Amino acid sequence: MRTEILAKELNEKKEKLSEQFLLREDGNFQRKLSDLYDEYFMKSFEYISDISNSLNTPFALVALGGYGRQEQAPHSDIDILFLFENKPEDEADSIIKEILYPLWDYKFTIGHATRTISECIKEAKSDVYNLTAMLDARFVCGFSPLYLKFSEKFRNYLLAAPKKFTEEIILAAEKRHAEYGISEYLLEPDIKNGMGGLRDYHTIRWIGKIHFDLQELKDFQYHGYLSETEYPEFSDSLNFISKVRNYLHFITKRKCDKLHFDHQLQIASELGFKEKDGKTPVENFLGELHTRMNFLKEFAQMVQNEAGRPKKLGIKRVYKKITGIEGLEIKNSLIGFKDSEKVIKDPSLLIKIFKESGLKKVPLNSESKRLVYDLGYLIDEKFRKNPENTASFEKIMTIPYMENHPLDSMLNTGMLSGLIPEFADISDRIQYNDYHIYPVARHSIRAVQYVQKLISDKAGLKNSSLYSSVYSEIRPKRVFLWAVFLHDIGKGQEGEDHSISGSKAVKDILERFDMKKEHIETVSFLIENHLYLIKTATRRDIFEEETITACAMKIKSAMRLKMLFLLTLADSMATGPKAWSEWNESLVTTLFLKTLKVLEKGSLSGPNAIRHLEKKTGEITKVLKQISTNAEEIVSGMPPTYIFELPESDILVHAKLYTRLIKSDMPFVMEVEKNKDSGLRRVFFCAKDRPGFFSSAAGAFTVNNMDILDARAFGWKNSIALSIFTVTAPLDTVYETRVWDKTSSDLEKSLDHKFDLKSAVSVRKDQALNINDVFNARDYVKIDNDSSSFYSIVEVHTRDYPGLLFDLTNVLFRFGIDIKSAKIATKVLQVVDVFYVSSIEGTKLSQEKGEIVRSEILRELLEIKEEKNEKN
Amino acid sequence: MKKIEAIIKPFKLDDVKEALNEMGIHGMTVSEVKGYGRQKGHKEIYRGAEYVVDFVPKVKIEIALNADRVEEAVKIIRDAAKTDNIGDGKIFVSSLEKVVRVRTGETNEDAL
Repeated sequence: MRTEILAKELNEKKEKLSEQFLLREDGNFQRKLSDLYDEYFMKSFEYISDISNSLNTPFALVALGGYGRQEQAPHSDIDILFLFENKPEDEADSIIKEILYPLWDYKFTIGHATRTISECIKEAKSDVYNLTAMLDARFVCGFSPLYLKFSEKFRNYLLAAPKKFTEEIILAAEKRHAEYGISEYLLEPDIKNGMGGLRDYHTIRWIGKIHFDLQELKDFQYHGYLSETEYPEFSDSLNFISKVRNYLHFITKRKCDKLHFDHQLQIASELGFKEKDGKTPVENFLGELHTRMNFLKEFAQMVQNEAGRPKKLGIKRVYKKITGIEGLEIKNSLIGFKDSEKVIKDPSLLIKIFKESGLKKVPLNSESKRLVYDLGYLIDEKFRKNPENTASFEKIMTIPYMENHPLDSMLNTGMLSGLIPEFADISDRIQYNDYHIYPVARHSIRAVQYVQKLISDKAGLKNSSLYSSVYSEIRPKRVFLWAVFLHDIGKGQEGEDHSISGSKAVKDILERFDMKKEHIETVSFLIENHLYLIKTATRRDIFEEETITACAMKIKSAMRLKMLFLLTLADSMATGPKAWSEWNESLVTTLFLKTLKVLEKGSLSGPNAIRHLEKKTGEITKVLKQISTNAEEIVSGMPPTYIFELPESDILVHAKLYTRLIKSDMPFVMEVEKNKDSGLRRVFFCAKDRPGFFSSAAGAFTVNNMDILDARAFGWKNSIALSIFTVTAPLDTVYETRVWDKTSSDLEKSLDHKFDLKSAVSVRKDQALNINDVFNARDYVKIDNDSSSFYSIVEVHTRDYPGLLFDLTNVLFRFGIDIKSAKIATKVLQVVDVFYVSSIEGTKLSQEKGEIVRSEILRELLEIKEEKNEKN
Repeated sequence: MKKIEAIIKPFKLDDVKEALNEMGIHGMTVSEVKGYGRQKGHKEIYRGAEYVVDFVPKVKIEIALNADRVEEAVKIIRDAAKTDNIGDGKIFVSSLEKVVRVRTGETNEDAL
């Protein structure tokens, strides 16, 4: 083939051009590559003029798409149209072969079409993609009058229904955004198709083509879409993004437009980014890319909003809506200021416009955005201290939708960093890690938006009713929203953990807004702990009571817990899919509900309980230090409920017993406390935990003729069981010590299975139970699985008799049930025994097991009655 | 060559990872999984409404190693993952037919 040599030449020239680009010797790569292609087509057209001349229909070669725009990326398709005057005969095929085959041989990718003018129009009608490709059409070579004719026909076709075409193009752009995600924010953006990508520029270029027959980029400025200062920014942004795309093609050696993590480091260094302001080269690169793409996105949006609407095309009706706010007006579904003088007189309009924009769901027009930017100096201390302005901002934070959110426009117009200067530090800060897909400022805005999404039943979240129920209880909501919005404000500073630095920084910020001190404290607390729940949920055993109590002790109030919970969810969701999954959600929610129960219902609930507990723990440690060297270790083994519920003196008795126990090889140690005024004794036990100890102790008292009036049982973390029994004094008070020795030795023997406690107890029962009416009262047993997150609660109401406690605990022991704590209370002969129990495996009893235990206890009680009745 | 799959409690991941590291096992695949065995799901009540967790969140660790190290690895995982409570998890051991390192093409023992 004659053209082969041309293709070879083209290939060599392209390689050379690429080399120059990679050596950074050439700035205008895309245009030059496009010129090379032009050169190839022109030369090959000459080469085959003999065939062309033999045809009886003239034709022209027309560049389309990126090639038409003379913006040819290294591995993009070459879109070429063979435009014929009339339907070509078969010989036309050989022309196409001559021109295209050699290109294919050299691995160029080509998109080609052969059409007449009317076919072109037909194709444009059928598909918006064909339409837009032809909007970029450019004559390359061949019969130029034919191209001019095509141009004119196509232009007339466009002008017949410009509104319709514009809408089609905008619709396609919206579809594309939905498909590729909001790439501008993604850490792996799609340079071409993502929001703020090159396609956005193409889109407005096409719109410009339709509306004012755009010939060059400057036309945007000429037609008033860009100011003199904005134009350079626009063209610089385009150049930058195109350059990134070129590198991406070179590095991947293919048409790849998604900027994967792998390529980011390399491109950052190719583009010459250096370490700066404590940020790595790649962070600086992504920061700039984000700014550029954001500019492009904003500009594209603006052109679509304004030019996309038909006002400049002779349609006279202008839709006006009343805003209800003096100085603002809505025209053509865009909100703007009536005049700039008013804004200078009343700067609060600067924030009101965003609030109205959000409430009425109308974006700001471009003049008003520019005005907000230019009048930024009006946002001063007085402005921030004005409660009306703060209220406006707080309202904006509750606006529920995601797209075109007023907070985004506030960020882009500099309004946010005006309001909160610290925000400027995090605006373009990209976090280069696997988790965050948004730059920090965007992430903060998303987090605020996700709060509304969490509680909306429309978002389709499984637990939205739980979330909205929690949200409805949050007071004051505005304080919570501030915390969500500012939770990452500490990221602007170097060094310190951002949770800590943020919790400090936020105090200055909120003081400027005259927020109450207690509310500032709340926000500061929430920011300092915004990662606490997620860390605890994933790194601690949330099925352990200690974890939950520690969490409750840290957070202290149910209200703060609710706020922290929703903040955690909103933060995780806004961080991105890698940080957020149903898996995490399930753990965090379980932690939240368990902790809330402790704060609302447990013995630790109540406003001062936790503070009281902390104080008491400190005091106990202090006293213990005098008698033991490892006081802290001992105290850390005590469960909070234990410390909370027992008087300090009792705890100290236990601690002393404990130091005795670990020095001895006894299974338990005991101490008796005599009360001189009453005939009662309190007996303290400290034992190496083993199933059945509590039950055996109860039996030992019964056997030795002491009635149990009250009993408490607790477990320490290190498998130490503590209990306190209040019993009637032994009959023989003179030789009391002997009785205690006997009790102790009975207990020891029974633990060693050398003494049949059960029979001994029933002997004692027989002696004692001679009263007829005792057993006529009804027994009542309840198993409660809801009140505690960790234990089943067994509640027994019955008439007292000697050995009752032994019988009850013995049933539990037989079923392998662990007694974690017990409250025994006797009033005259009526008893209410409450046992906090769990299975040996540490879980609550299943419903079936609970039912069996319940009926077994009732059966045991009934049996004793019947025995008695028989005997009587 | 054997593959060990261990299902453990999420908060035990660091302990297990560290223990395996000490034994000289540095590579593993970790995934967040959900399921249930004897530890059925649980429910919490909030304002009268039930919040039910049917499948309990767990972490799955997968490691491939030489058969002679399996016993040691299983013991180490077990010791590190144990809380003595229900839901501590399970360890599965199975045989591997072939292992290929993607970058170099090395196979079997060389690829472990």
